[in-house]
Amino acid sequence: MKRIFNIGEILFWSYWRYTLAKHLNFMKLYLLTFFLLLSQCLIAQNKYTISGYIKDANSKEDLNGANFFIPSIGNGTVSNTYGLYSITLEEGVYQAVISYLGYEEQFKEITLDKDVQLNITLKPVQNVIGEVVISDTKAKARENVERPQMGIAEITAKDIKEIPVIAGEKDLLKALQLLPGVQSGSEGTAGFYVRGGGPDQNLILLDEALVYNPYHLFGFFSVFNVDAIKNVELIKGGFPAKYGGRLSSILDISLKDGNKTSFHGEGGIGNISSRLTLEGPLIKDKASFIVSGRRTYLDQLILLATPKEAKDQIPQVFFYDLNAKLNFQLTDKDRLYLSGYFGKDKFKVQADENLSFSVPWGNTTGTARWNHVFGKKLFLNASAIYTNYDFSFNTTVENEDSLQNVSFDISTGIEDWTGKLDFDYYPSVLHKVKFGLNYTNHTFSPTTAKQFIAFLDSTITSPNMQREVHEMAAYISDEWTITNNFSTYIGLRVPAFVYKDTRYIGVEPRFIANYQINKNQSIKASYTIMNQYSHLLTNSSLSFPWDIWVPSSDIIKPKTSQQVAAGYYANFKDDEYEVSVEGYYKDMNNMIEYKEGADIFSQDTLENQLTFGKGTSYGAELYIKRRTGRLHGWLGYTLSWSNRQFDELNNRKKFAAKYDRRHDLSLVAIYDFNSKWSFSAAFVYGSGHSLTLPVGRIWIPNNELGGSGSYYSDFTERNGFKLNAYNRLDLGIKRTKKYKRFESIMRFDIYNLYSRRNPYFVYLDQERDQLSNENKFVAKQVSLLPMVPSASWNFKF
Amino acid sequence: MKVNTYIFTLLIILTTLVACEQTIDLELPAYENDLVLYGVLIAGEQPQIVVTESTGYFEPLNNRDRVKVINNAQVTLNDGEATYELWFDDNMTNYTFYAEIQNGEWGRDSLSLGGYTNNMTIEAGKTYSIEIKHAGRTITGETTVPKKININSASYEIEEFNDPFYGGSTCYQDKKEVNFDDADEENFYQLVANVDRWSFKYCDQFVDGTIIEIDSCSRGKNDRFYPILSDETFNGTNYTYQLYPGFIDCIGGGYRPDTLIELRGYSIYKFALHSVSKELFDFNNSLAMQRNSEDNPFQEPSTIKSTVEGGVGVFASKSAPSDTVVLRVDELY
Repeated sequence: MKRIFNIGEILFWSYWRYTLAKHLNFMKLYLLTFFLLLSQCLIAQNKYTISGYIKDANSKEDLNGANFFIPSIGNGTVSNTYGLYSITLEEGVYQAVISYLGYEEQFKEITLDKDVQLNITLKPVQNVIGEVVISDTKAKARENVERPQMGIAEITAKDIKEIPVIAGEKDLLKALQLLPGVQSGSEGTAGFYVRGGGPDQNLILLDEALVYNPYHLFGFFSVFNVDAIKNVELIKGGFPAKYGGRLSSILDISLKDGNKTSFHGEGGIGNISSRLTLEGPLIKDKASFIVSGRRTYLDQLILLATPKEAKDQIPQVFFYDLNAKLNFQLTDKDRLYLSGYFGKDKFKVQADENLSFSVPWGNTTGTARWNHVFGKKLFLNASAIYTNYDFSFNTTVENEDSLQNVSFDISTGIEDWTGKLDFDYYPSVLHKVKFGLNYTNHTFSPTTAKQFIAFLDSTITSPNMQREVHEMAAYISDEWTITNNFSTYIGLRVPAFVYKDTRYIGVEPRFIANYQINKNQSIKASYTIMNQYSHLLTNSSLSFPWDIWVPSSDIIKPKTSQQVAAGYYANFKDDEYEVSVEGYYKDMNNMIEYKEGADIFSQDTLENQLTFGKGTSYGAELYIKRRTGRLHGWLGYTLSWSNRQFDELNNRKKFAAKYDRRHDLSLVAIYDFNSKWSFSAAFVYGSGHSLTLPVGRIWIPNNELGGSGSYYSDFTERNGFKLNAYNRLDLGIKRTKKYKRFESIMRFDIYNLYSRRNPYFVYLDQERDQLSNENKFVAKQVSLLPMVPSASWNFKF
Repeated sequence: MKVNTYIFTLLIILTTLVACEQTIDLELPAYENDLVLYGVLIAGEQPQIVVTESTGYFEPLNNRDRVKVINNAQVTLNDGEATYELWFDDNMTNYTFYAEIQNGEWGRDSLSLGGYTNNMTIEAGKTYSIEIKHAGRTITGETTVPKKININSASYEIEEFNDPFYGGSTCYQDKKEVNFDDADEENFYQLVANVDRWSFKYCDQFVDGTIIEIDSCSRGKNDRFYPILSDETFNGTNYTYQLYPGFIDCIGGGYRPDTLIELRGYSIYKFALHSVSKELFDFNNSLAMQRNSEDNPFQEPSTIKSTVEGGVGVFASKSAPSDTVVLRVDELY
């Protein structure tokens, strides 16, 4: 922990101030704006504050994003991540409507002649099959129209549990891929790409801790155990100022706090893994815990089915993860949260009697948070966060003669220590101000290689490439309701980065305007700038987890992006339907690719193997959701373009990004037949990804190389070939049986119902041509997953 | 087995755990054969221009048939003063390569391909442009022939070091230096090292052999076995180019001698230098990168950097070779 507080020696305040001065004119505008806004609040008279926490009535879990609405003034507030709300109004008597997704609305009459502390508990809605199936409450539904927020894709844990799954595994990231603007990577994998950005452009936070590699089993599953998740929010544009460090998206995941009133459990047994979550009070209504674990047993199943003599040849493939959280209410104004994640993948293969591979990797995170409420209007969240990601690849050749033994190990990883202070300030009903500071100490270990050769008694270790860097930021924002139908979000974030003598500072304005046409329709526009100082180097032809994270340096400049977006949002039929159409244009600079011919295992310095360019992406997203009714679900469609342009690639010509996908369609339907049976279906269609392929051969005498003539490949334009389109249909059937204290859920799912052979990757191979009896090259497409049926049993108590 | 091969095997193993491989006919964009030009003018010599046609990547691999020489193109060379028409000479070039000669049998094969030439002599300092017309296609290029630069001197130094590959043993290597004047501009060179006699001590043992010729044995700007180097790191200064860490790497691309003969002696090196045009540097670098990357799934694909318009290939030039400088390296242990 000592490293967290070593801020003084690295903040370089004087340098920061100097650099800020260069942006002074710009800053002045913002500071003036905030000053005016705050002064407006200060001159108000006879105002009082209502504040408190909004919680789940059963578990006493804090509810993030619950609505506290005052119909008479047509305005209200929303609880923050920790369930706190605060609203300041003139003296009087008010009717308040408190609502939250999946909970019963509650009405309160409040006489406001002094500051009021009001903690509210909301009861979860019981699914009543008949006239109406509750999905979202109306007040929550109206947020889509009323609040100055856009580019947000929300999916509930309930939705994730409803949609069809593969191998019985509920998966958060695969569920997100079904939303517009979010594209999947390769077949079956959990990787996601947002609005034309690369996989490293997504900031993935688990209880505020950054997760660098959110994948298990080489990307087929994500590391997030759905049973332990409370909230998920994916922001694709219009980024709040509290977030930064990535260009394309913020995925903010909160773990459950643990039930404060009674002991509960949840779990499941699937085709490849089982999981168990336990939660309960440590001190009733004051302290709680939750612990959630998961482990695959595919390796054990394979072993059972393998003859004894062949067991050594069976690959060991498994992963496990563990989430744990403790939650203490110290006083009415103080809370303490301790949470952690630990996950590990192991992959070991005995390729032959001598040669074995081992590929372990994993993430570890730890978060300690302290919440404190100052008075009625100011809320503090102070966090100390640890993140570690490591990946290694080990290969060993062992012989009877031990002198012939050889081993080669390569590893990469990152370790972060972060300190954060986040404040929420509610000066009046018209303003919701947030401000804060954060600092992260990153230690990057891009690659370390070690080779041992027994007969030479020689161990060679690559030079230490470890890089310690410092990243920090300050931010301030205000969600300002200017009139009843016009509201804005104005924010400013100033990030800074230090690595040895290299220092970067950014100025990131964040702006959203929302004009509400009428009760059910609004139009919004946003403008945001983002900087990114950590970069993932990805081989253009392979996507394997030994992609390497590197920090910015004097040569690797920070990636920057500007995004403008505009959209139309509407609710119809008494909020039963939600529709949005959003268009965006994103301009990205200092994008990174490997140079042509670069070798990811080369001894050359990283910087020498990289080339830098720019990118643009633009498109439109359509989202239609039916919130209520027996048949509910959504349709998402994205039309998009994503291009790159590098001086050293593709003869300087613009080329399609690897995951440029013109059309992306998702249709999710859930039908609740009765209180026991429900059916779900998901259909996805996506245009093929881009690929660079050789199409011709040229013969060069090349006297200059001292040779006697060689053939070379003539490639398409970079990423000039498109793989076949992707599509599949998944079905799921769920049977829920409720007992007095126990709930049993059986699921049967079919992934890829019509066994579509979707492309996973393409490779070139030599074959004998039957006609000419000569060798020739052929292109082969590998498809991974045909129709995959699965059954799983889940339970709750 | 190389580490990259290990890793690729791992990838295949992983894939086969869950994959259902399916061979498909990719619908590639229709491939139109390109004209391919290989023309490197050398000052003081007659032009030699080879024109071929590219073939589809997925056509059968027949070395003889796939080299589609164009022998009826209209080829003209202009030196800024006059235009010269080149004619096709059947016997101009003869190439050998390793190929499948008969069904399943591999060996050395040779082809006489021919090329375009003229009795004119290429002159240093002149800018030449080429135009080739064939079957409605036109390919053009331009190059300025660089001037000859002589080597001032060649020297060597015996360096002692500990080689981790040999368990940290004390080893020796010759650092051979070639000195020449580098003009204050962007320059590119090709250093040719011929070795008449070869003997050196490595790790307290003597290695002896006779190498007939090592052409273009040098290192380029990326510290690899590139035959042609850029002066971007020493532009405008009197540069001493160093064959480092010794030609042992150049001979076999990382080869280490396994035939050890106790013979103390000396080595004879003959160095010559060409100035070359940037087109040749860029083109040859791209060839070398593609050759290095084609069998390595963990290396980025590399495309050929054509220096001509309307087709593929290179039109470039180099100076006449410098005067040869002889260096004798005595193994003084």
